[in-house]
Amino acid sequence: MLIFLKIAWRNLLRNKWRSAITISAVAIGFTSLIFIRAFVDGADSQMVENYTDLLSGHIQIHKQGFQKNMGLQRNIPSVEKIVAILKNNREVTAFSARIKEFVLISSTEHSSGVLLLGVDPEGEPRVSHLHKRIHEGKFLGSDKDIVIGKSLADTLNVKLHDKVVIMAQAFDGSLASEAYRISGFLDTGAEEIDQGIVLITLKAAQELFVLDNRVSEVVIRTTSVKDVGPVTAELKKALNDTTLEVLNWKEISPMLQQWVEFDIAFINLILLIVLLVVAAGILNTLLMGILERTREFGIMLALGTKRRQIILMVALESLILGLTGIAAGYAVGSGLAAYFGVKGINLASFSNALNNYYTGSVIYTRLSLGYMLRYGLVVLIISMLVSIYPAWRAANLKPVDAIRS
Amino acid sequence: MPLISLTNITKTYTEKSGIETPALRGINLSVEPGEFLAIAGPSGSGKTTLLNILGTLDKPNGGTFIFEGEDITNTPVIKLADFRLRKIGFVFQAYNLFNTLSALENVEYIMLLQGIPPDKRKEKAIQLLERVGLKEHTRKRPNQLSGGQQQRVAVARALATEPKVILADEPTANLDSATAGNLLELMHELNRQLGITFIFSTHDKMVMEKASRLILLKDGQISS
Amino acid sequence: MLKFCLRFLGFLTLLLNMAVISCAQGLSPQEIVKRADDLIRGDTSQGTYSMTVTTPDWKRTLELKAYSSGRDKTFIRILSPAKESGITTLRVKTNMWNYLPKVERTIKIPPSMMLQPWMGSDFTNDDLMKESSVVHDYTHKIISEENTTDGAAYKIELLPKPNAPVTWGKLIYLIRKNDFVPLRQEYYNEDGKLIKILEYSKIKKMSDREIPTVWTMISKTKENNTTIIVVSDVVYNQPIDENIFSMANLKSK
Repeated sequence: MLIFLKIAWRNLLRNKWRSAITISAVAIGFTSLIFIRAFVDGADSQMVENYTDLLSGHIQIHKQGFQKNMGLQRNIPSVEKIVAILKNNREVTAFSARIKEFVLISSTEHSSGVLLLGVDPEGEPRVSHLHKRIHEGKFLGSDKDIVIGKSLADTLNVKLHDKVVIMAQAFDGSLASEAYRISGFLDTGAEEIDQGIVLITLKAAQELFVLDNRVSEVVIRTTSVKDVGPVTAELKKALNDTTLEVLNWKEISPMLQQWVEFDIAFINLILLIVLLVVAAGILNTLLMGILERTREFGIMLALGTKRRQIILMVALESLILGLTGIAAGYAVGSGLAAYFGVKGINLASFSNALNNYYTGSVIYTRLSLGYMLRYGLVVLIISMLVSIYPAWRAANLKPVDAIRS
Repeated sequence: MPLISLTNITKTYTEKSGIETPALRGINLSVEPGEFLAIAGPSGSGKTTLLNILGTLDKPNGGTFIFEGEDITNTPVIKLADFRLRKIGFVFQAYNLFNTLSALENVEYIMLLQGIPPDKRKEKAIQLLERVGLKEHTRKRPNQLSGGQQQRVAVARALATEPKVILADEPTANLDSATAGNLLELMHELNRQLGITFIFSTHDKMVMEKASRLILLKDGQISS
Repeated sequence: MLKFCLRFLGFLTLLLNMAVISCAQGLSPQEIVKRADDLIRGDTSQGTYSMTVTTPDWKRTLELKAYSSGRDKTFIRILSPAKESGITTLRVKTNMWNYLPKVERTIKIPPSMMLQPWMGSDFTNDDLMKESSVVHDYTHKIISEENTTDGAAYKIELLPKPNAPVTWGKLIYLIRKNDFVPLRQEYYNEDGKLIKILEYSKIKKMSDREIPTVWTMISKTKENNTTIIVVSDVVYNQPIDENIFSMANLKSK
């Protein structure tokens, strides 16, 4: 067996340049695959993390139907049971309650329809990063404070500490109206937030809407934003309450999820191209080699070498080419990905487009063992499969003709 | 019992164009163990075809081929791989050896096919190479050996499986007369000492003279 | 010759008769709608009303005082309950403001809020503003005459004129034949779906005319949502001080 390996190995060495080029082709293809995947993974992860960090959180619990039809009537009367279950789940790292309703905000000059969020000043920073995006002023302090977006402030023509009035319909049908002082301006870069969302404390919102202790939603943060599916299912099961809906970010923002899936599809396309290159390269090398060694194969067969032994020899050549290419590709690809994982790739010149997609302008590439192994396996399998035809041809040579050639 | 018995063997080649060329037109041949036999004839006479059939590398279109009492006329070439491995040794005209293996490894190769364990293989290969006078050259690659040395390695390899018959297709054709003479002498010695049957195809006078029996082929038939 | 004259006279009489008949009933559908509209509005009106809103989750009653002048100006002050007492709404032409005494702030209602319910009722801000367009922004057609418990009535179909700034696809009005009292209004969206029905009932003499004193708006899209406006008292066509329809009045007590 070892001799077959020696033969395969030495045959590859016989044509150093050809083998080197084939291995390089595999290596370059594989490197690209790993690096591009790491890049896209980094970008997607950043996008999802930034988005969910900003406002939506990883999982939200509401009264059934709330996501489609917001309304104070669809509220969660008591969060006790939910809190108990959340505290019990190890994947849940933080949670906080909110009130959510459309209101009219007005300054002395303008009014605007906005989404009001009543948030817990202590709990909210643990589930979202809104408090980090205060451009001027401070986050919520007292129940008389309100935080609005910078763009909204411009529309309403107000400055810090100005008074604004919130008007809406309360839970009991009466008119809810209250004045608040602007404590800070939000600058998230996301237009829909900066123009359309205002924050007051949870308590202030409960008073405004005459809700007592009821809330609109519970926002939850988990250990992994990517693997949020299983945790969502666990919570649903634990809550066992058909009057509640438990939704994760993929269901709240399907567009975000679709974007991620689109990227994966794109990567698979690249994988296909790389496989084609690898297959073509190896096939070419093997075929040329076999053509050149027809006589040698003839003698092998004449001497009594079995067909499967011939196939083994060709397969081993393919294996060596493939493995070496993959190993080299791994080394370079993961090296690059690791380097840029720390240094980051600055796409500031394209930054405007990217900011809208929450990616940020610096992408940190992300390696993951999962896809590295999978891609290596796929490339290896293809390089083995591709050797079937040449091996078959070699094994089925007629010794007489082969020797003669 | 004769080692090999050919009865009325015919072989015809059909070109793609449909033209048929008869190579052998009814060969009757009986070979006893231990013979040192030469098959001679001009090119195109069918020597190589006959040798290929004898070596089970080609199948006749008609007639019977009996080896050690067994009729192997219709057994497919592929199934005879094992048969070839154990019973027949080959020495081709040139390019006998695998260029990527050393002389030692070339001889070892055939024993590997037989499943002989590595240490035994190596020991025997060294012995055989010594026997053919190449003790110092075991580690050399074919491109580091002369034509004559390569042929000797081929002989050593052919011996490695202790075959019943060694078939040599114009083994001296590419050698100068001195080297050719040495090679021939070696094979004759092996034939006498080990009793292995040798069948040559040749148009070298020296070989023909050395042979204990000479068969002349002309136009696919044995002429006497 | 005599025969001809007699025939001619007969023909003339017939013509005259027809003219008389159409004089009495010769109002175009548009005119009929205008009459009904004018009846409820008057050139000016001031009155006290109660509005009761019922939803599956709560029921509330507001007492209000309302003034209107022509088609352009409306002023409403909420009298009770206490939480909303003092809230005022002013509409002048196409602008609308609310004043909230609790926060001492006047709020201009942006056009985007026009379709929002006024004070949580089944009447939208737009309903309060745009009734006059019923006459000018639609084409009118009498589709039948019906006998109702309140008397014989015209059934008139109103279709929006192209490019008219209205959201409805169709309106159906039931208007009493002899005195143009509106009995019923049906509101359809652009897909032909019935969205809400306004029923006028308890026709009584108020001020100088007979008007329905109970207006019931029933939502056909939100189950069990109704708004009932009861006219407590109303005076028509008495001159109203222009200052009533001012920003200053919005804020006054």
